[in-house]
Amino acid sequence: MAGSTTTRRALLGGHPVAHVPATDRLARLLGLELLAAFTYDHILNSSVLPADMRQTLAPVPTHERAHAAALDAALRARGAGDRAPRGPADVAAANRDLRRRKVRGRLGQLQGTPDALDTLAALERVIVGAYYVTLLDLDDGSLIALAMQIMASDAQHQAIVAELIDPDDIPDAVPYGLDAGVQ
Amino acid sequence: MVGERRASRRALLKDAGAGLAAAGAFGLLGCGRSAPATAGTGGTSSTPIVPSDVSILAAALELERRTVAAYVAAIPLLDHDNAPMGRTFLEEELEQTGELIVLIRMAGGKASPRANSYAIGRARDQPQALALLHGFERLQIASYLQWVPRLSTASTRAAVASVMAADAQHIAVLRATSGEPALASAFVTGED
Repeated sequence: MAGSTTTRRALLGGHPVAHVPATDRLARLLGLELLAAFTYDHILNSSVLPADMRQTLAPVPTHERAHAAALDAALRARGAGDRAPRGPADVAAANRDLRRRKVRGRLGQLQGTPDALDTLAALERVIVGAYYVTLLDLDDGSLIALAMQIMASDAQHQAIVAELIDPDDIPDAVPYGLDAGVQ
Repeated sequence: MVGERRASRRALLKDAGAGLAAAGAFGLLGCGRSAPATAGTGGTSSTPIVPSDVSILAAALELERRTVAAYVAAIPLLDHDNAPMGRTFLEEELEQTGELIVLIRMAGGKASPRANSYAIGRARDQPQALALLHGFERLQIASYLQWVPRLSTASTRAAVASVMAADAQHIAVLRATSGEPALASAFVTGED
C-alpha cells in the first residue's frame, strides 16, 4: 500500500489543480460533453460496432447532449453564455480535440470494434477526470450537485463501455489526475 | 458465454472502480490550489478539513457499513455468474468505508465502531437480493447528493463524489443484471 501512496504523491506533484473561474470550468466541461456527443454519434452511426453494442450504447449520446444543455444553462445563468463552446464542426475538428486531450483514436480511421471501444473508454476517463478536477475547484453548491450527477452518469457510461471491451485489450485504469491536465 | 461476458465485465469494472478510488485518494491527499475560503458551501482543496464535516462523514460511514452488510447478506443469494460481481462490489464498498474513516480522522474525529448488526431488510432469492442492493446504492447516491455540497473543503467533496460515482457504476451493472436498462437517466440522482 505504501507503494501506491508514493505513486499518488508523484502524480499529484506533476498535476497541481490551479484555480480557474467557475465559468471557465463549466465551459471546459461543456466542450468535453459536446465532443463526447459528437464522438458517440459518429461511432454509433458507423458500422464499426455491431448492432447489439450500438443498442447498448444508444442512450449515451442523448445523455451527453443533456449534460451539455445543463452546463450551457448554468453558463448562461452566470452571464457567460457567450463563453459556451460550440463543439466540433466536423470529424477533423473532433479529431484535433481528441488528440489535444490525449485520446488516441481518430474518427474515420478506427480499426474495428476494439479500437472504437477503446476510444470511447479513453474519452469517458478524461471526462470523469475533468469533473473530478472541477470538484476540487468549485464552491457553488448547485454546481457541485450538478457536477456530481453528471460525473456519476459518465462513470456509468465508462462502466458500460468497459463491459463491452475484451479484458485482454483494456489497459489498466489510469488515475484520473493523469487526465486532468488535458480537460 | 454469458458467464464469460459477466466475468469480463467484472474484471473491467474493477479497473474502472480502481480509477475512481484513485481519484478519491487524490482528494484525501489534499491535492489542489491555495485560495481564500468562501462562505456557504465554499472552501478550498488545500485548507484543512474542519470538524463540522465529521457528522456528515460519520453518517456516510454508517450508510456505507449498512450497504456492506447488505452485500454480505445478498451474495449467498446470487447465482454462480453474479456472485463474483457482488464480491467485487463488496470489496469496493469496503474500500469506501476505509476512505471515509480516513476522512473522519483528517477532520479531527474518530470513526465509531461497527455495529454488531445493521437493519438491511430481507431478501430470499436473487431478484430480491439484487433489488435490496439496488436500493442501498440508490440511497447512497441520494444521500451523497445532499451531503457533499455541505462539506467544507473541496478535496473532501471531490473524494466523496468519486465514491458516489463508483456507486453509480454499481447501479448500472445491478440494473443490467436485473434485466433493466443499465443507463436509466442522464443525471444520476438516486431516483432510479
